Amino acid sequence: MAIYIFKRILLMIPTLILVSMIAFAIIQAPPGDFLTTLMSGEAGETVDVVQIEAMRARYGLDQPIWVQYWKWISGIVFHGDFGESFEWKRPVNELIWDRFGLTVLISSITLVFIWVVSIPIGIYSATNKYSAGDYVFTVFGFIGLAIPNFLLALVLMYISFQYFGQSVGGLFSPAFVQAPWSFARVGDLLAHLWLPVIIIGTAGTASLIRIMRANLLDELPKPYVEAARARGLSEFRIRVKYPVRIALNPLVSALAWVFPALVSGDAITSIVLNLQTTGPLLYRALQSQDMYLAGSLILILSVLTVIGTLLSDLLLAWLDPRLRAEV
Amino acid sequence: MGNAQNQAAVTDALAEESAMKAAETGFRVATPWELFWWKFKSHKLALISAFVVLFLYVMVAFAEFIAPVSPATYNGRYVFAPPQGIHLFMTDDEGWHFNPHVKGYSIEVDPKTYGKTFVQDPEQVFPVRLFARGESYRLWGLFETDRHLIGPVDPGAPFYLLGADRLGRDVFSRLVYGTRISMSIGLVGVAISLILGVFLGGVSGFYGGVIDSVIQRLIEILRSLPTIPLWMGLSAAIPLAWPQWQTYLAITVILSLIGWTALAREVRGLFLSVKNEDFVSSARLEGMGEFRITRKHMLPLFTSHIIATVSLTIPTMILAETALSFLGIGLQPPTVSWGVLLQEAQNIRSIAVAPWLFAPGVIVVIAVLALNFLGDGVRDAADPYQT
Amino acid sequence: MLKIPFTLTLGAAAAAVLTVAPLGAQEYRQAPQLAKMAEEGTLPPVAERLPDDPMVVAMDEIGDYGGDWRTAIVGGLDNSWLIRTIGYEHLVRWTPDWTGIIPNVAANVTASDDATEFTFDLRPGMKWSDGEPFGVDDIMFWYNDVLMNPDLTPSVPASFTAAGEPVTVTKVDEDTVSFKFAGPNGLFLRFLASVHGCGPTSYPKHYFETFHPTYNENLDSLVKDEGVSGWVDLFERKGGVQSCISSNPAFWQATEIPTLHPWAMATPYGDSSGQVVAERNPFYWKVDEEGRQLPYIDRVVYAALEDKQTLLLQVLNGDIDMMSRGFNTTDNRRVVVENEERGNYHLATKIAESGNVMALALNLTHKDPVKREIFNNKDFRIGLSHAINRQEISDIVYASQLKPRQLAPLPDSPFYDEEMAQQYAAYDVDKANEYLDKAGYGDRDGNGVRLGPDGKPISFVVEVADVFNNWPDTLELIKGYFQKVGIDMELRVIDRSLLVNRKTSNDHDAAVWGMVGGFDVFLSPVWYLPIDGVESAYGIPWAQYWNNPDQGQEPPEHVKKQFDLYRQIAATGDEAKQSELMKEILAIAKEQFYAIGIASNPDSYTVVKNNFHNVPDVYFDGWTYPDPAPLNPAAFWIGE
Repeated sequence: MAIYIFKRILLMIPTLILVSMIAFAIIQAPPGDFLTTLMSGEAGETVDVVQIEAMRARYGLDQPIWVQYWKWISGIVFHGDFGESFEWKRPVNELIWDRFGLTVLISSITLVFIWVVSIPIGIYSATNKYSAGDYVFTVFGFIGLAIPNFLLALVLMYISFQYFGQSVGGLFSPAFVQAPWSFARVGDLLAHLWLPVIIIGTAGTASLIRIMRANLLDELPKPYVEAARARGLSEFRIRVKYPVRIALNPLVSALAWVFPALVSGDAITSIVLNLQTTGPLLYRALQSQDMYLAGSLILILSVLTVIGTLLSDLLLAWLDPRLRAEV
Repeated sequence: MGNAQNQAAVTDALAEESAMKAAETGFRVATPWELFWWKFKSHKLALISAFVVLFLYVMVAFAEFIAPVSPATYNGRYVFAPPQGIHLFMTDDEGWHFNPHVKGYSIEVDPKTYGKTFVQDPEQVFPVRLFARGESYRLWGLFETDRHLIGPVDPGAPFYLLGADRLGRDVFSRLVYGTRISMSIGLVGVAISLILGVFLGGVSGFYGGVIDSVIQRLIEILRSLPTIPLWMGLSAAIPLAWPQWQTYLAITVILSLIGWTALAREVRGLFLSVKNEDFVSSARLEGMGEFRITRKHMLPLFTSHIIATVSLTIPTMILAETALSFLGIGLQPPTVSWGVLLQEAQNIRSIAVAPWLFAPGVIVVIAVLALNFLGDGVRDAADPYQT
Repeated sequence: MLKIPFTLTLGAAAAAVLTVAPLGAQEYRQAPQLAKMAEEGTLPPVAERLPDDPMVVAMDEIGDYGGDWRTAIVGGLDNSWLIRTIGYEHLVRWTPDWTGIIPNVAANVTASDDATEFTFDLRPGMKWSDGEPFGVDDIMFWYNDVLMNPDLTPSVPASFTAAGEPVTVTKVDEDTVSFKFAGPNGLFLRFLASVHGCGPTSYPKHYFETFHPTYNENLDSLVKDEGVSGWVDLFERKGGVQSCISSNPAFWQATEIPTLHPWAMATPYGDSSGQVVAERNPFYWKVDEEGRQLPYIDRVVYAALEDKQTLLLQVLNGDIDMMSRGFNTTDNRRVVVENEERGNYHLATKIAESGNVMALALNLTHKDPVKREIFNNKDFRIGLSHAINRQEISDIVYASQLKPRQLAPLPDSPFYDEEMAQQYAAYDVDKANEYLDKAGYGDRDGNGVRLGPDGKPISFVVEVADVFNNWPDTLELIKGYFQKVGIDMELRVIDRSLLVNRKTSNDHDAAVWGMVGGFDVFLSPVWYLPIDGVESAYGIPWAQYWNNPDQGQEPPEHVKKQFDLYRQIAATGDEAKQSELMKEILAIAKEQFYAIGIASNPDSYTVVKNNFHNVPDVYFDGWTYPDPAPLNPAAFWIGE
């Protein structure tokens, strides 16, 4: 097991180096740089061209891409310094961690929501295949998958405005935004949190229902289930004791992929719902070509995913020794 | 899942064998495809979905014919005109008679909001008919005709089955043309993913070792990058000078970048699970070449799984296309796709003033649902141990 | 309708506006919470906080203290709404009706007759928001250590130069400062009053000297501690920036920078709470006519939103007290008006400064010689202009709110020229064909597309930024109009920064953008003569040549003539002469017909809650006039 872990961690290093290079290349792909964005303010709100050239030199944007890359990556590796955001004129470090906290919070709650909803439905659907309940649940689950997140967000927001007169957007009512933490504030947070959680969660729910259902369908006809039945175990115990457990394995491996998917889904939803998560920050940084901010966000998200994959692989290997041989 | 697939493989091999026997003995033995079809039929939702998907692709093929007008045809008089219903019968002094028609609008302009209010005017009757004459077009660049599936008898009459948009364009016609782009983006994108996925996944699973490791790392890297920056970076790199169809292709390629990794993993898994199975080993022992084994025994076994994956990947692509448009980096007008249509609709004004602009949203949901159920049906039907 | 005679500008005349006698010290009053603090001794008494002669702001109504002004900022880089609401305190300012310039931070302005010397009398006893005195030394710090520091200002902006020499600023006495130019700088006070003129009054020396090598010997260690690459970066991160401090996002992200603004930052921009809050500056130096210290409103609370649709919903819901940005499009007008009652607000009209809703510029300096030849053919441009059905565009895209016109000064401008505004604007397909034939492109190919001088069909791409739908919609219609006269036009919707990039590298066939300079002909004439390397899309390389004759392309004679005239405007202090010269420039622009205009801009609107007072029902929409700042937001107040 130790060798296995060691091997996996070793394999991660080239992956991470490549990821960091790709992340940097992606943000360099569009023509122009942050300063062109700066020049493209509203009509008349433009900046002096001479100043722009001076800034280009000062920010090092006139240097070749590998020099810029090295400056950035060496800062991260040796000093934990992610560079400075051009747009905000602040260190990237100061900008992102608060937002990461909120992103992780929302994603985790969403993940729990997805599991709580999809596992029971998946089990029910598999054991009552082609029943009315199966159809209803699957259709319902898939509708969530089929409605684009941004559309759902906008429509739900309009409904809450039109019929409940609620102040829209954000995670707190205006009165609680600056307030210190209290029970009332937590309550206010929960009152606002359900909307993004449902919107972001819908897509994931449908796919997990499907995975759960399919896995369980594979397990149920196996001889050991029959054997258990022959021994007179109750149907409920038969299902929960082994097949469901085994069917959960792929859910563990899905964990690694679910997280980045949530973050991506979160970005679009957060823009519409005005959540102070990493998504909108990343989106805007990409738009304005604020490269150290964008690059750092991409890098951190990717690293989290790679680590997530590693953890879920380790977990699986621990659960199912057969898999260890595969690596 | 692996076991189910093994079993499927065994059955296929058995079926092939028994088919040969049947030929000798004169028995009628169902082929795997017949078995498949019998099973598939029993999945009602999948069956209905298959028809829906078929219908959508008919729309793709005959967009010019089905749409009453071209997607660019506008009329300033009917900005945000609400949908008209088709009335089949008409009453007059002589009683009821069959005369399909739509009602015209009477229009008032609000002096304060400058918005138009439309009221259906029972006095204005515009008969409609099948195969009506309208704008002429060349279907598939071959036949020149001016017949449309349905339309007003008088080509100048207002005819907005799903209402009009902000330039007075027919939402229904735009939807039909949008279906062409979006459904075909799904197909083309899946084709690209499929080629990449089956090839790289196959190579990875078949050869293993270093090649496998390299491909696996590549997939891991691609999947660990968040999709939004990947899309934004790549789509910004599409040269502006490219004509629309090339941009369309480029966007499709970008979308398939996410698709192929999933397929490749699946194919690899299948290869891994099958390559040491008894029937493959025995084929090998019988002296069959590796290529022949792959073609004859392994690929057929994957086909149903691949079809299932394909029909599950198309909806992902469709949704991704709408997300790209939301971010303003996908297809751009005047190209009409579901994403473009939704992008135009996704604002408060549309919800408040012209909710019918969300018709593309409804069709996206229908298409995604249908393709998903179809995929599930195919997957279930390919699994002979299920009932 | 407001009239803007851009003539009354100089200090002597304008200063007369402000001859309200200073009130006696005992008569000053203040906000209740400040009174309490003054009583407790945590704050000096109001008379000590105010300068000896506070500026008196006369408004329609005398207001009450208190309340939050709820508004919003959308997306990144949206400093401009902060500037427009709380960030406009320059030496001089525009009058609210934009008819002239009045002293502001300066109590008095004197200009020499030849426009070479400008003397500003400051207000003795005036203070920064942290209570430190504000005075000539702060302005001298800005001059010596920011403007004249080659690291911070690699090249002195044109507005601070004359006859090729940067301005000389000298301290006359403790309360007087003088700006002396080597030659006349006739546009100087206009520049100072514009949004770009913030430099001299935004550098509190006692704060910034810590980050400046002239004053801080240990700067290197500070640079190291902060982890920045050099002192310039540090200076910038601490809020300072070369041209205008308020355009530096860092300024709005700090709460500790002293300021002369009516409200000072309390919750900085970029705070994770999603709010930006500015609180009243207890040392603000203006009073109302009854001697009550401004501002009336306690706090300005900006919701930091990501999406304009959310903003719109908040407006409709009545969650925004006063705002005129982001949501106020023609498209949204209907829903905004329909919800007036529910949101308990009304609309104020903003008269568009922009001269045209969309300017279509063919690239007259195209890299491809064939396209350059075609685009430079004036008959070709006239033909295209006649082919456009402007009324239909107005009806369909802008709810019939537009009046067809070319790129020209607006009717209320002193430079209005009916003929220039209306030439070739009539929709006339026959005339269009006639001109295109006359241009020499009478032959057509099998698809009916006219052939260019190289015998190939004429086809070009118009690039448009994805800012909002109206431009692409308009272009789709125009594509159809051009098709009818045998010209193939494609449109590409692209990201706005990409568009800028392509324009500055002269890669575009044609591009559209909004038109500035409908009223402010002097400061924003970019559509009349090519002097802006981003905006003058019909001749970017000419504009580059204007900025630096070593760059870009040498323009044709008529453009050079315009450049020469524009230089003369800056070199004279005589208003009548300036207008004469401007008219000559406009006459050349009219003759040359550089770019095609569509129609007048529809008036914009502001949402004002019914209990939000002192916002006029009609005012101007501008950027050099950064509305609503010249309307004195410090004197806005919230009633019951």
